[in-house]
Amino acid sequence: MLQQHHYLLLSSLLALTGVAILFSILSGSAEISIDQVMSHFTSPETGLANQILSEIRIPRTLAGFTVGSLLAMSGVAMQVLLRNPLADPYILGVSGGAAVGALSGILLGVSSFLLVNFAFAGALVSTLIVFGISSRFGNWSVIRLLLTGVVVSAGWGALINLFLTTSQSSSVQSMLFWLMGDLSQSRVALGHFFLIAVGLVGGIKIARSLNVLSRGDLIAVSLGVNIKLLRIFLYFSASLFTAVAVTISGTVGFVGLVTPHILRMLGARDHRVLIPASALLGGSIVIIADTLARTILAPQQLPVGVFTAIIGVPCFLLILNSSGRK
Amino acid sequence: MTIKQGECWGLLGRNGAGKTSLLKCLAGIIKPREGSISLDSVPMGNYDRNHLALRIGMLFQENLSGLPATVFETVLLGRYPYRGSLLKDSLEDIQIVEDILEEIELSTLKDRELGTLSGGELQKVGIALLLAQDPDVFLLDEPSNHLDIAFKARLKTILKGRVAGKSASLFLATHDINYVNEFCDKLVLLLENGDFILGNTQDILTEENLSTAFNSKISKFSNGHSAIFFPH
Repeated sequence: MLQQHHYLLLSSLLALTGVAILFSILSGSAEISIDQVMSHFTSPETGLANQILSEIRIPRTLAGFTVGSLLAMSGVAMQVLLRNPLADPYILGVSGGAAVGALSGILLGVSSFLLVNFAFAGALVSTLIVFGISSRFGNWSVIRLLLTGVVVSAGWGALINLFLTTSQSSSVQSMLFWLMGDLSQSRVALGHFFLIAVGLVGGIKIARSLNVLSRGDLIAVSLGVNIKLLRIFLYFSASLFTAVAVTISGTVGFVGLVTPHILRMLGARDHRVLIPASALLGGSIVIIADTLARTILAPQQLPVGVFTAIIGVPCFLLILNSSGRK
Repeated sequence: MTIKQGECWGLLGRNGAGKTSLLKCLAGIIKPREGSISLDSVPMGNYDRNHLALRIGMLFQENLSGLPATVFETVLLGRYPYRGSLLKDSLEDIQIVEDILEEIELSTLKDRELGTLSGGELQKVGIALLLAQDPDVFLLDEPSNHLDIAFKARLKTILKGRVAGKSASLFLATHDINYVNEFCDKLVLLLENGDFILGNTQDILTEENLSTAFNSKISKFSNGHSAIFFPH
């Protein structure tokens, strides 16, 4: 039921997103004032501040939001699909496949533009392997899917370690950044926002079915949900979102797992609220984490994935602790 | 075998005799290996899933808890087949759920998380969800599981009232001989190796039939009005 506190939650998250975006745009080694940001949008002239804004800060902030939104929505989908609160977007091996694809690209010395395609191809291969094996005999059970995904991930993990230990030290650094998530080279296009919009609209459209599926397969079938179709849809859309996020930024951990949980603890258990709320909170978390990652030890840039966890872990434990006491 | 409107049927048999599988066949969730099932003389396969959800509802033994949800949110899912608006739950649906929670004595627990409930309370949530679904055919798998003796009796009254009120049908699977004896007018008794007998409950529930079905000596104690059964 959409209640007043749901609207309150959504509007607070919208405000948080705005603050996060502003914080990110205003922070950095070059001082940029809020007036300069305003004038950037009203009268785009050439100038250092405008150049920094349009070529570095704004694209990076937008990329952070996109990655966080996609991962958080994908986390919601995976948790319903597997009916398991420990599920995250990477649990079924999408990130492993993408990482192996990208690292192969780095080893082959391809340009960063092509690297994206390598990563996406790796994610796609992994998705198809897991789906193909787990649905092979027509009995696509949650346990079978989970087990296949975890085992395939372990395989990718071993390959990643093999790459890391056998390659030259010069490429290891860029590999590690990729594995821990890095937004410094990230750019997003209009297509990415279109994907978020599709995720939101599609997600809200199936939200009531997700509420039912969360209570179990049998009850979902008897209430008239086509669970076979719904699960395939969930699986492929979650995989697509994760694959796109990973190709933008590498594997940014933690956001996909904890964002839905934080929101559920704040009372957003209905997927009609949870899906848009996850997109906003996930995006904000990554923007804030990335801003800290590039400013705290400036001019040194740290991987954003490290900071999503550094901020995420205490926040999560705090909320878990206070919701348990109620 | 035909289940008519207004009838309450029991399905009695040993653990693992196939009661749940039969109920799932009747609900259209699995297909029977042999034979066929029709609803209003139309084979089950010809109905689409959503239409079936409006006609047939089932109480499962599976646990409803998993991802977090409150009692109210869960019972409201029973209104899913009625396809309300995408974003808002209708006031009518909310009122229906409030009334059912009152009837099932769950009102005080309506904002509690499923994970914090006892086994009996969870069972009541499942029953409330089924009542919210308000089907024409009630299929109940071990409805008395975890319930105390007072609520067991109350549940019987509530369900019989529903069945009589809207000329629904009810089919209840259990291993509890005394519960079907009080509850059901008609009975299917599952015997060893796939055999069964069916008829009026009074005629089927004999010491001899029960002892065969449960492969153990079962005695009947009667005071003229009612009877109870117990093992030796």
